[in-house]
Amino acid sequence: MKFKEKIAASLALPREVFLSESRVIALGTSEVNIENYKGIIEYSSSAIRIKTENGKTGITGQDLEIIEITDEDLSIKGRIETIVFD
Amino acid sequence: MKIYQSKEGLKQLFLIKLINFIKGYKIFIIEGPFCERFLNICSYRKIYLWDIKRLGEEKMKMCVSLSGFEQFDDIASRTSSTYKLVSERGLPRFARTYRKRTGFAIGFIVFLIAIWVSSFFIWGIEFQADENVDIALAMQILEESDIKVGKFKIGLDKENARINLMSGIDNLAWAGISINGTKAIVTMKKRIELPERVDTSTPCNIVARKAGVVESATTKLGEQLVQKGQAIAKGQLLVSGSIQNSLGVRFLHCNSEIIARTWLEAGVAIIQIDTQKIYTGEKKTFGSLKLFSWEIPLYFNKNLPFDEFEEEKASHQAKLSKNLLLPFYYNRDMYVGIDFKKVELSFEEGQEIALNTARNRLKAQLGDGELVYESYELIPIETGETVLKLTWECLENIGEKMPIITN
Repeated sequence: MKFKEKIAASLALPREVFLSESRVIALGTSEVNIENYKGIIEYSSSAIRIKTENGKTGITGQDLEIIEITDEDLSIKGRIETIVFD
Repeated sequence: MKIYQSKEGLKQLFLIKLINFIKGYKIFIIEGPFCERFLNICSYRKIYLWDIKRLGEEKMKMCVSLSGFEQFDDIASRTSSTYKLVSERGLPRFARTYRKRTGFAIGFIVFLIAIWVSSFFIWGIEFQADENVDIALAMQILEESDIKVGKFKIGLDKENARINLMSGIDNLAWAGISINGTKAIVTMKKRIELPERVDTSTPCNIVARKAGVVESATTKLGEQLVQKGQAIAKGQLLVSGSIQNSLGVRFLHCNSEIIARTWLEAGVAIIQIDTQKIYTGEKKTFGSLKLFSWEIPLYFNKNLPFDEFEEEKASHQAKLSKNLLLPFYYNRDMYVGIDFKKVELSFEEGQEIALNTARNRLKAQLGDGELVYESYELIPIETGETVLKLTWECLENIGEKMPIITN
């Protein structure tokens, strides 16, 4: 375990704040919010791949749409079928 | 900026949409091989994008704020893409479109001022009262106390009106008036009525008010003269209030409950032809607009193409919210054409009508009593008609107090 991770664990600090780890929130199967993303690798109506601190996150489904995008957060809606972490 | 599918999230979403509308935004299409890179640069430069839709392999449609749009030339050249403006929306665009239309702008401002001024008046009175409170009387008292539709709501003497309501309406336990928006809400609660006081100082007997057979007798005061199973005639003394003892005669106010089995009868002729109301399907509606006390009809004449009709009136008041009523009304008078037609009935149908009529007559006679058994018979009469004779066997208190006259 890295030194920063040890401090975060011992002080019970939120990892997404202290270690900039991504946080993926799925709201049912119709919406996904991703915090702390780094960039978009691929975007189509059936698949979206996002680059995060920990690797890549892939979302597949149908009629996928980015409903909003800021420098920190990304919200996706559509009929979500899978979320894969590479 | 997270949008969660909750009530809070919806409020946030509405707020974001409202801010975007006020600040103005543009909808555009970008085309090029590196659309994802375009998005990444935008997010890196903190340009807020929303409603991003893929339209094809190298095509995307999205919304962007006006300030973000200024950087698009640079981003497009960096990503070898082109962009096309689809439309511009929001308040700045609206203002730009209508800035030369001064008449429209003045009218809009006058309208806003009129709405604002009208919010200082009462445009509706709502009563929240118990069932048996006389609303018409309350309305009259409020009017006399200067609380009425069209009154300036600041400086109203609500306390005086409240006192007038309390003193003007009988048995009112509490009254309150509050002004909410342009609506006066009047709350009134009736006092719980006390049971009627029985004057026990007057001596009385209990006599039968109708004939029957005694089912049960409970006497608290007085000398009971009848027993269970005994047949009673109308006017017969049931409980005596004069008690004879060694000291002489003592008079009492009797208190007794004599429940007897009674029989009620009603005869109704079975009809063969009935007059029924039918709707012709014709309908005529007259609308009118009411502004303050002026009524503007939305029709030329009010001639009805039918003689017999049913009338239905409705009035709708314009409002900005539940309590923010406006002095505009839409009144609707609807007339539905009806006709009366003679219908030949089958014997069963006629019998059913006669049965229901007889039941209604007996129900009115029974009062507080209880129905135990129902039977009927059909009796042919000389005229060729048939009469349905309905008999109800009931249980009821047949005792009636009769004062004793003492010298």
